[in-house]
Amino acid sequence: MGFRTILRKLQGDQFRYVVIRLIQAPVVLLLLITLSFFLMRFAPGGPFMLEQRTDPVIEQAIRAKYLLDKPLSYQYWSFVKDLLRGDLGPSFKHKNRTVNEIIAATLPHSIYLGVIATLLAAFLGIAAGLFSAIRHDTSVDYGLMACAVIGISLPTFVIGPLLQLSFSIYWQWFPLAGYEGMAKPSYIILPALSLALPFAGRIARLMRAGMLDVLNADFVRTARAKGLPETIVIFRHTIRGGILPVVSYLGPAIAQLVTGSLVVEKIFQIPGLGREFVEGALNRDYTLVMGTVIVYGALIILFNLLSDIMYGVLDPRVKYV
Amino acid sequence: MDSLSSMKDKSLLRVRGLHVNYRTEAGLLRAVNGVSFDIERGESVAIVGESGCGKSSVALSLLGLLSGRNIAIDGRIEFSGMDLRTLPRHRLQSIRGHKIAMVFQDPLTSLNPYLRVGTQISEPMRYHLGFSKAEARAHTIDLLHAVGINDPAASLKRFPHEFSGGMRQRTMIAAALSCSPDLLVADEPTTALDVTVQAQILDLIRRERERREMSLILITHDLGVVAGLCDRVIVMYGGQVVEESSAEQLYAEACHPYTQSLLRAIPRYDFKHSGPLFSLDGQPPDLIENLDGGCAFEPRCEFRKDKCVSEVPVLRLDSRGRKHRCLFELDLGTGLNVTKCHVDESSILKADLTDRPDAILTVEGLEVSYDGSGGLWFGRREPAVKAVNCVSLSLRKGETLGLVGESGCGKSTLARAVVGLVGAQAGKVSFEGNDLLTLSTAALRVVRREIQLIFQDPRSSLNPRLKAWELVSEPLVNFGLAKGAAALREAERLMELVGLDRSGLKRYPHEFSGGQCQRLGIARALALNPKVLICDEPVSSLDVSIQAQILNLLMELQASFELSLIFISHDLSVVRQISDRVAVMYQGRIVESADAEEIYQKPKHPYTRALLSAIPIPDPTVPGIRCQLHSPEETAVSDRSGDGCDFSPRCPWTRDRCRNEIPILDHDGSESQVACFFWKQHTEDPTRPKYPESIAHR
Repeated sequence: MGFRTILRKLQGDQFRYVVIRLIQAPVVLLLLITLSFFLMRFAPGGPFMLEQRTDPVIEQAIRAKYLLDKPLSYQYWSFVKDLLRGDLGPSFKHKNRTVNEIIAATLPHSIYLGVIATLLAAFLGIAAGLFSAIRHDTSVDYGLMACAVIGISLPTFVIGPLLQLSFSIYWQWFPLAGYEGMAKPSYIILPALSLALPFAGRIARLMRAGMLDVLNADFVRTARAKGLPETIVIFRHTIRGGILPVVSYLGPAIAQLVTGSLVVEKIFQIPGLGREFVEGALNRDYTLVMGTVIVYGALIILFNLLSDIMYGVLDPRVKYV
Repeated sequence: MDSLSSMKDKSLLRVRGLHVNYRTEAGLLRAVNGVSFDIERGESVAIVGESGCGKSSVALSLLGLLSGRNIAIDGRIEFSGMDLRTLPRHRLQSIRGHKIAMVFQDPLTSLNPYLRVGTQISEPMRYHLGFSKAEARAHTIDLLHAVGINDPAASLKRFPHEFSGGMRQRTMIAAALSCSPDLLVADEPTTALDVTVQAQILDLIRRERERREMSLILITHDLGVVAGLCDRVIVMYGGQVVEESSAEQLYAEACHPYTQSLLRAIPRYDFKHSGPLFSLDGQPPDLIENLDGGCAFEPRCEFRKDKCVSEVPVLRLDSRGRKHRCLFELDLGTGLNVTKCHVDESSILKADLTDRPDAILTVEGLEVSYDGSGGLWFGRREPAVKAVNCVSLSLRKGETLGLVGESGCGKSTLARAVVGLVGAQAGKVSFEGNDLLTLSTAALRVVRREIQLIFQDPRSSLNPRLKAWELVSEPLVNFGLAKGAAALREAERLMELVGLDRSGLKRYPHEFSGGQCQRLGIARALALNPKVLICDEPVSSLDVSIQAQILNLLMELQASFELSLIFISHDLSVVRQISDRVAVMYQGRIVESADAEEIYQKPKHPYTRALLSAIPIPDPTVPGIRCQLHSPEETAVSDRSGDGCDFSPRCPWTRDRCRNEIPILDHDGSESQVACFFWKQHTEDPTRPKYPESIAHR
């Protein structure tokens, strides 16, 4: 499956389909923005409701600075207008920092971590699912699926410390925590693994189910009747169909992985976007939350599109309408 | 057995004492129970039996394709002197697809949807014969040409879903023939295909077998398919061989009562049975732990004697040299000699038009089209497909109207449009003075009580989570006519009506056999005491013996409740047995309609005649008359477009007028109608061959 094959698929109807989806994307995004903007404003509390009483004059000044004294519709339009210029506005809580700056500072780290985690999750999940399907109903199958269930059900705040305990304190293979960027990849392995394991578990189960479906299909029997060796039967005739459920799951999963996770970032001391998202929401930092929502939404739309295109490349029966 | 070993050099395949057991939750299922047979080089043998008789298990075990923890196989399978069962895996793989090739039943699911046709045909050559990509490609093009696929070089690049059913099966055959195997195992190769396509595929198999001097094992339930193709027939029942004989002998004189019943249960298009069809009562044996003594067929056998219960028959040569598994040497004759008593023609010509009852349901100019797919934003809609195109019909009180056509001709859509399950774009459906298409939803609901449907796949059309009595009484409950204990009582009455035991009331659909499920479907349709029953392929998924039971049941019910039936089927033989009048559909239009006897004796439209001539007749003495039509997908696109007769691209007698003008249904004074300009010339010109042997491209 080379890049060329994908390009070939993207001619004609497929190209039209991608263009339509790309036109739809901003519309969907705008809906998402509008909805979260108003939901957040209607939620109780606000960015400047502090425990101690503030001087009404100062409060008034702050509210005026952030346009909070204007009607909601005015606030909305000015936000959208700024957004169209690519300006997400100043953070309500971090003084002297704009949301653009915060995202620019944290998103790359989250993406780095997320990409590594995606690769790990896909590799571990697909391999485990493939093996348990081929060795269906044997101890290998049961063992791998038990691991998958454990991976899914263990929360990250358990997996992370367990990995730290074993791989960095006991064996001392990887550093305990911290972040050194691309320069020292050893720092990223453990956080990526703890982020990846639940996803790997889900992918393994999807892959196994998909493979079992296809392995029982008539056309696999035909392939065997042709006297093809089992490796060709599996790799040429089965994997393409078996991997389809994984492909449709991977779209949203990747978006989730690259936007970071508060827990992993806290445990391993990584300056990622996940922390900003959660803290922003807790602080009612309206603009920061809007910024992270937009990033997250855009990534979900993008990866869903990619996984739909990939699905069509793998399955020639898919029609683009 | 000694005599057999001397023939060893001639025999290609020897199967001895084959057992296949499946471990199921209910116990050990003995699917194949001691089957032995030989296939000689170049010989063509049919293995015949109903579903569940073990014939497919035999076929699959020949190639070692049955494996799994729940399957136990025993016995010897010798191929060219090698014991396939003890062969190491890589040696077995080098025989599969190379020396023994297989064609499966359903070409849709048996071809890999993710791979190009060219890849799927060429891979055995690449692997077994070590061909390079270019060599394999060249051979694949030759093969596609040989199996009759147009433009082979372009077809290589296509995917199976872009092919029609017939072309898919041709592809399967091309892949199987790619390494010139010594033995071809074809497991129900034409069961999923239309009758005209079936004739072409059978012809292809016959031709290639003769050309390559290849042995053939044809697995089928259809004795009609066997007649022109196989030298020898092995009949299986309950996992055992019950009879083995040459094809001519089997059709002339069946020795085992089961074989004879099978032959008699086949409806014949060339003969109208008077009275109910012969049907084999009861169900095939339950093969789970079925170890009690006696003959497996005894419970269903009309010749059974006391001895049959206690003594287990063995497969033996009887004193007259016939090989069968019956304790007696019965003289059964054949179920086929009935062919001689044709209905005399004079009776059909003066069909009495006077005492015809009034129409209960009339359809006028009905049109149903499905929208082509098209974008919501970029308006590049594909043209709509007219599934039903200007169809007019009338159904009289108490009669059965047969609706016949190939798959995709719109017959099911027509049925659904009549009851309003599919919206119609134009036309009128009148039932008792109401136009169903303009009725309000509430009024339509009331009328629907009078028109009920019976569906094709009995199992999937029953909700698996409801019990039998709930399914059957559901219409009553929906209309508030009964509930609780009353509904249960009604269900009991209905089930008795369709011949089901009351013990089944609380069972779920999966606990019933296919035939019993269809009885449930009929009971459900009868619950509201309807006036019209629309049966959409009600017997096409059933075995022949069960098929006859259901047809008889429908005819009985029709007589006792004065039902009017629309009977939809692709099977002209079945339609003949049950219908008073027949309408033939082609690409959304009715091309011919007439009294059943007339249409079968004197078909007028070329399409009707082609359909009839394509039906395989279960009798080797009747010469196969083959009218080869091009299947629609194989005709060039340029032929298809235009304003002419829809059938003109496939019609052997097309003239210029046919390509430019659409023929309308033409009354010839009697009840029959035909949509063809030149039918008189075709049917009456004595210089024309009655059926062209084969029509090449015009």
